[in-house]
Amino acid sequence: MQHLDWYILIGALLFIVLYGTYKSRSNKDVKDYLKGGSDSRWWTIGLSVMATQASAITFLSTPGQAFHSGLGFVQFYFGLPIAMVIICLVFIPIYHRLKVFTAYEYLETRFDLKTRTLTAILFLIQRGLAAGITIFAPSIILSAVLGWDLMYLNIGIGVLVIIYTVSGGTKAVSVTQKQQMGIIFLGMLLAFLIILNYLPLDVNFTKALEIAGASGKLDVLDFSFDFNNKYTVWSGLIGGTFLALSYFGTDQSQVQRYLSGRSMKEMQMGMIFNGLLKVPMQFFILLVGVMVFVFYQFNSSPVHFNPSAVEDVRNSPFAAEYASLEDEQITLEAAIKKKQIVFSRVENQTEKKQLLSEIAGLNKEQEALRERAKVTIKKANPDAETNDKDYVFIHFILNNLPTGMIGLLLAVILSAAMSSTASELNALGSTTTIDLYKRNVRGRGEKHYVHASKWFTLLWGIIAICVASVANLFENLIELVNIIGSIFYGNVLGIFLLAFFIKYVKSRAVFIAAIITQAIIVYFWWIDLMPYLWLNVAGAGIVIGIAVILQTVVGNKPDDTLETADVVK
Amino acid sequence: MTEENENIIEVVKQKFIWKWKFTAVLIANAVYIYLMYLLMNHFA
Repeated sequence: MQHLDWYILIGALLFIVLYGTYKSRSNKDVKDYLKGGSDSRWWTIGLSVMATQASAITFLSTPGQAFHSGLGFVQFYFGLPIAMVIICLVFIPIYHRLKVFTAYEYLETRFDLKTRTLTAILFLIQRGLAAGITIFAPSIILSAVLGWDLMYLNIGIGVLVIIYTVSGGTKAVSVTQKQQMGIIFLGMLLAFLIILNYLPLDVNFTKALEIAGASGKLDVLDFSFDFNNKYTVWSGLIGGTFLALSYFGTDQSQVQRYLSGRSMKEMQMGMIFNGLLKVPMQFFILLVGVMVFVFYQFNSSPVHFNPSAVEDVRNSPFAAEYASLEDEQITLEAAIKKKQIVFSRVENQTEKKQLLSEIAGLNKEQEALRERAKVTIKKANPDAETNDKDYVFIHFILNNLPTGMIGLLLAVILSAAMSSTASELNALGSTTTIDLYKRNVRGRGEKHYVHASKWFTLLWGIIAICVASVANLFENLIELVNIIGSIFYGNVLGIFLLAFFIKYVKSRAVFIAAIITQAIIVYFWWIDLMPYLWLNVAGAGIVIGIAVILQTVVGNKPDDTLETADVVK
Repeated sequence: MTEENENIIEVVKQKFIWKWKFTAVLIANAVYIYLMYLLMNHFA
């Protein structure tokens, strides 16, 4: 990295922290601190919701996913717009009219205190872990490729976020997310244009798509009913709707974003904005990954992208075996490049088809070579992480982008990490204050609860840094966050759906059903019964089914009425 | 559940107002998927 990269990176991050702290310096009461004064406009809500969901993992892992597997991952987001409409129709009007600070607060008014506390605790567990991973994911990758100390990176990202989130609360999170999304959009757009510019003169965008298509990278839609296939149109539409409904409707890190809206209309517009932009945005990020694939058709790439895994194998008795694979890679790349250059100049359709089929064959050979490299790495170090998806894009950035752009793209990655972490800490602090602390320690002044919120946000920030410091690299970081979410979300969504739509079911049945369901879902995940997206559907379905059966069999106990009558908000 | 809150939920449920922007966002996404289908078929 050159001086200019450092200036851009540090300048962007410091600006965000100082701007966020400055813009939110006057928080008088809990409403100001936790709902940002309830004066956000729809575009602020929309950008804030998008920034919360798009973490650093999105920008590191997604292009790498497209590089290896093509655009199919976009199907994961197909259910999101449907969920946005349901949230606008049902969730937002209820939360808005009840004037709640957290989603779980509503459950006490509908069921009882223990159901509210249970869902709040489920949220705190899963989101507390996810916040740690949100910090850890970019740290492990940046430390591997840049040689920065992992611990310092974890602490650095965590502390920067804590500064403005603790001091400014929800408003600081929202205003900084607008700047962060600006940096993210600008950085990704410039990266895309630069990649296109780096392709040979004969290769225009259409030819680049033809090259990608020939290797199956543009196979966006999979209409098969294969239950074991993770990303299909059906798993995206059904599982994706349930996951998005749970995430945006019941996860406080998202609910808090739209509860800061000036009016119900602004909240709904913010969510519609997200429903309109999310699929194209994810498609675009994946397309950047596909263009990186095309770029490497004309330029040399490593046989494996994870530098620490490569170092392991180079310092082992398998170094010679790995070196021979690298030699094979050089030969193969030369053959691919040669064919690609011929292809870019040919106009005859028959010749084009013939060349594309030959190139696709060579790319298959290259994929097989990369698999063999993984086997060699595993032989050298059985514990090594051989999934290198998360390293593809950062390798491209550091080795190919011009000075200045490297700093900007690192600012994109760190901004995304900060924006997601800020929402998570903000929500963790709010839920601890409103659903656990304020519910049990009543009758104190506004100032007291604002101070309590700040302390709890700080505490969760420290916990997130600790989780990040002890986390180990999972198969795929973006999946890890979604898997943790899917284990808990379906159950919580089911409780909310019962609350909204099945008046017949009372608190005792819901509480017991929720405990049983959580145990069942953890078991399903443990034995790997189904792809993780379906855990959302299963969780919601099982909790609703058990609660209805229990209510029918057991009926109302006298204290059901007593507990709910005793509700004090 | 307190009566007031129950009333609020009932009011919301009775007033599920379908707005044109909900239709617009669903149609827009259906168009995105169709365009992806065309892209896939054209370059496959």
